[in-house]
Amino acid sequence: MTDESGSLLPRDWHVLAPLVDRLLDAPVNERDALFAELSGRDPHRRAELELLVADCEREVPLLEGHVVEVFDQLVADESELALPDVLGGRYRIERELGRGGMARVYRAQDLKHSRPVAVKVIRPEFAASLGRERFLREIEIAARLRHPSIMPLFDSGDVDGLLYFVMPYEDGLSLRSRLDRDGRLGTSDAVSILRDVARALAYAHEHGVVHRDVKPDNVLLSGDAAVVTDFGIAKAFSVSLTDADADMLGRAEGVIGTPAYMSPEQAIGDPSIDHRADIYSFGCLAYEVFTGQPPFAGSTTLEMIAVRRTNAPRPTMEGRAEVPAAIARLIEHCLEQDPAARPRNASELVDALGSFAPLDRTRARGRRRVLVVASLLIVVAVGVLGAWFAKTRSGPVTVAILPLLSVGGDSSQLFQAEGFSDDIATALVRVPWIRVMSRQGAVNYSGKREIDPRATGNALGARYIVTGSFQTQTDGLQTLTAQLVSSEDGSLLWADKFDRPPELSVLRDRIVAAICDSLASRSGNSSGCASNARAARHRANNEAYRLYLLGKRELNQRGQDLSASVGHFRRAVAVDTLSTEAWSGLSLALALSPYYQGASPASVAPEAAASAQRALSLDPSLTEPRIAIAVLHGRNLQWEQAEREFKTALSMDPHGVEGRIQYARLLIALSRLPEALSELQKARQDDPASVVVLGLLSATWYLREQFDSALVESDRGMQSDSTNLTLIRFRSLILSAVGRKEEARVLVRRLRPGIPLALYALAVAGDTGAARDGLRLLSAGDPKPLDETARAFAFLGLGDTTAALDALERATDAKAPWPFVASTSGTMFASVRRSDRFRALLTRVGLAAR
Amino acid sequence: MSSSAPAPHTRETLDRLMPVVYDDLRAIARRQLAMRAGGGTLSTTGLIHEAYLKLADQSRIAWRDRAHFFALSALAMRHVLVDRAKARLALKREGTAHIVTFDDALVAADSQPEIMVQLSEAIDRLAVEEPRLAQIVDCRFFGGFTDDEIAEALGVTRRTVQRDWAKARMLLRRALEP
Repeated sequence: MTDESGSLLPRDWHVLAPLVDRLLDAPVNERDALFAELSGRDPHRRAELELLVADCEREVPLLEGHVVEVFDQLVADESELALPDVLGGRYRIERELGRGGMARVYRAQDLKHSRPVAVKVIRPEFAASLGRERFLREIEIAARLRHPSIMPLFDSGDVDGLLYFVMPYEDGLSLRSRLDRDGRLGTSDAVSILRDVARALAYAHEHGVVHRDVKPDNVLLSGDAAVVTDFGIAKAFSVSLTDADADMLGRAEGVIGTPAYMSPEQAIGDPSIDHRADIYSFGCLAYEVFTGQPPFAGSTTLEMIAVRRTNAPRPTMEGRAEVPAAIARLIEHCLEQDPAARPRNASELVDALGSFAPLDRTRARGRRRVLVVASLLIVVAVGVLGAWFAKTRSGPVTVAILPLLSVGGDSSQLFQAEGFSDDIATALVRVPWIRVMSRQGAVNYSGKREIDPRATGNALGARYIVTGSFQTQTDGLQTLTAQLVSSEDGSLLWADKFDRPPELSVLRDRIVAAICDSLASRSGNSSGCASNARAARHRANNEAYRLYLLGKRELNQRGQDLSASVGHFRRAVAVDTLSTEAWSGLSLALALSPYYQGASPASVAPEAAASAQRALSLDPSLTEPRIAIAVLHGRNLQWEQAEREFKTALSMDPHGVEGRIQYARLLIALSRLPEALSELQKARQDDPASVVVLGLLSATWYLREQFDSALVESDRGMQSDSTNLTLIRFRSLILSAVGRKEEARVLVRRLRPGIPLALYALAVAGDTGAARDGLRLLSAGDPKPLDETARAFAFLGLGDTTAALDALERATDAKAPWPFVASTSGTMFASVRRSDRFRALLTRVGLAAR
Repeated sequence: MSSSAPAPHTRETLDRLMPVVYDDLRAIARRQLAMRAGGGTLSTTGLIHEAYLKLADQSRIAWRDRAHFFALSALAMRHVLVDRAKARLALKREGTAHIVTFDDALVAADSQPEIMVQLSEAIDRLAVEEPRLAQIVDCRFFGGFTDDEIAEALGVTRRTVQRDWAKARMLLRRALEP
């Protein structure tokens, strides 16, 4: 009923439309009156209006859906992909196996190894806009996963304009096909498959990879086993579709996933999703496997996303007789809207499903009986042994020494007290059967008057804790108390009090001996404590020792400035030139100074090296000077010598955390990130609360672009000590990477512009204005080598590659150790990596083409 | 929201004023369709943001706001589908007339190309006289936006969107039913 002129609109539409609006807004019971009013008693007009309103209110089923559901044939792309016969010179394409939203899968023959493979080729529509390098890197990360339930990735490539990756060819069905065919699965099969999937997820999560697209299509069944495929693909897509600019909107990643299996946080595009999104998807998968339908088999995509957005309660499995009750509870638990309410990790899923492991009926009974008997035996054994254990415990004797409290003294006495505690630790380390834990982590406990032995023991990984206090009376009299406590039950194992304590170093020996004896009798270890007293070695004079303690305390605190520490040590050796520990401490403090203060290596290296040699000549068994030497080599870019020296120091003292930390820094500079991680994780075992270790762990994960893991470590570090510089600046970068830019900006503003990466982090977090301001500040003063480094990174963050290269060249001229700031293989350098100038720089610093 | 009149919501405008932008929008639309075809999500947010920022610098038109951009991206989606429909029609031998039945929620496979073309032409005609109604159809049916998102995109209230939708579908039905 359209106007003859071809217009869609009825006659008088412009008059009628506003009236229709009013009528549509009016409640139905008022309409009659309104019709009368608006039609002005013209029956013809009234009829027109009534018809219009009725037509408006009539739903149009065709248009209620979404075009992709209604016109699905047009949505499906029938075009063929133009593939060469042999892809990448190696894979001869045979036939298409299937196509999905983002890629098509082909069977091919791997000509190199003469075996069939499956090649997944990304649709050109996507490939065109992906950051290819980023995409392939993400795939590479996932390709490192090696697990029986994870489909391995053989190869990936970017050839002839096509992005593809290669997997083994599996002749089995996907779980999708199996469900399409059978509807749902019986309990035994279901549990077996789900358990394999859970194992795959547990493994991947432990290695920092989140799948993000867990669904039946991505589970292949081969014989009895289930294999999860496409790990990291969804992530690779969402990560590589990002533009640097897109970040400015605060959305680092697009929402990629499959609606029916997407976790709520994925559906709303929350960028900070973690492994718990996979757990939710697992819940949807499990639900479908048992019941034949996923929990939100909605009719439209929008509906499914709306369910998530409106925070609907989680689905229940009430009344589903086909599902064993415990499994139903597990699935419901996985499907909680709030990630924190879900099972914490996939291993919990494996365990929970384990109790349903399919057993043959008759065998089951027999096996259970055996299990029962065996566990009885164990119970008995523990009972018998337990008594014995209570008396003499075997297992490592782990001790943590908390900083001594200082009561009524000035800060110098406080620092002395804290240095003293650390020196007790140094002495105890020499006893072979004692493991001193958390030497850095213990620093967090300084000033704490009341501690909970069990919590502290857990945090620091120690069964025994040494505490004490140093009291200075108004008349100058000093009293020192010390005690040894069991962290398991808080019981006091030893305590002593020293009024008018003798020389501090004598006191230390006494305390160390007493602790050692006490632990020896408890643990059944042979003493060896007396011989540990450094009778044969030179006893430093008291003043020198005191100064040494002050220097040590500053060194442990890792403040921004090591010059105080250096000062104390220098004075200590001036007072007593035979003080081994002071020379040793001086060498390390000097060696670490350039990192902390921006002093040029050239100015400190000679003194540091000399101090180290002196210390070693007095006591060759020390590792601290060796670490100092190694650090100096590193700063001088003598990579091989540095590594050799580190390895020696570590072999001499495998539980020494300082050495591992510095070695890890070297490995990061060398872009050997997996090894760095390994060293840091070893360091963590000896010092779980050390913020330096955690900060470096977060940095290493960040440089590997595993932002989820990086954030976890960063959170742990913040709990330990939220002022550590490495922790803060990498935390800012991590927060930017996961889309929490506002927090990133707030955090990084705590840092001075002269700290390398501070301005870079600010720029990356989107505050380019402040970054430029910071740059201006830097350029104002008299330039120090570290400033040049900071400038270089600031320019990198702001995208000014020419200025960045200028600054890097100047930094290299001044021998500033800029490769230590962040791995040169990282994304920070992506914009300059191809430039000849940068390559020349790498050659100059000895990092070319490793 | 901005006070200036919205840019005309027609293909000519897009083609003439911002060919680069339009190509990108179409590319986005093709990707979204591809993902959806595989059971993937039809998320608008990420990909549209990506395009918006890439384009915000390049286009010579000052984008009043992101929301306006979203509306045009829906238009691009329609054009991609129509082009596909026309391509398929060109391949077909017989020319059976297909009739739109609005009361069915689905369209038979072999009718889809023709009906898409008819629908699109009707929307284009609507756009000439009632541009906002056409925009709403595009955003809702082709863009998959919610009423709230459309309200923000077009700078009107949610209630207006609902009313306009009612009027638009009524007009389209009248235009297309025999």
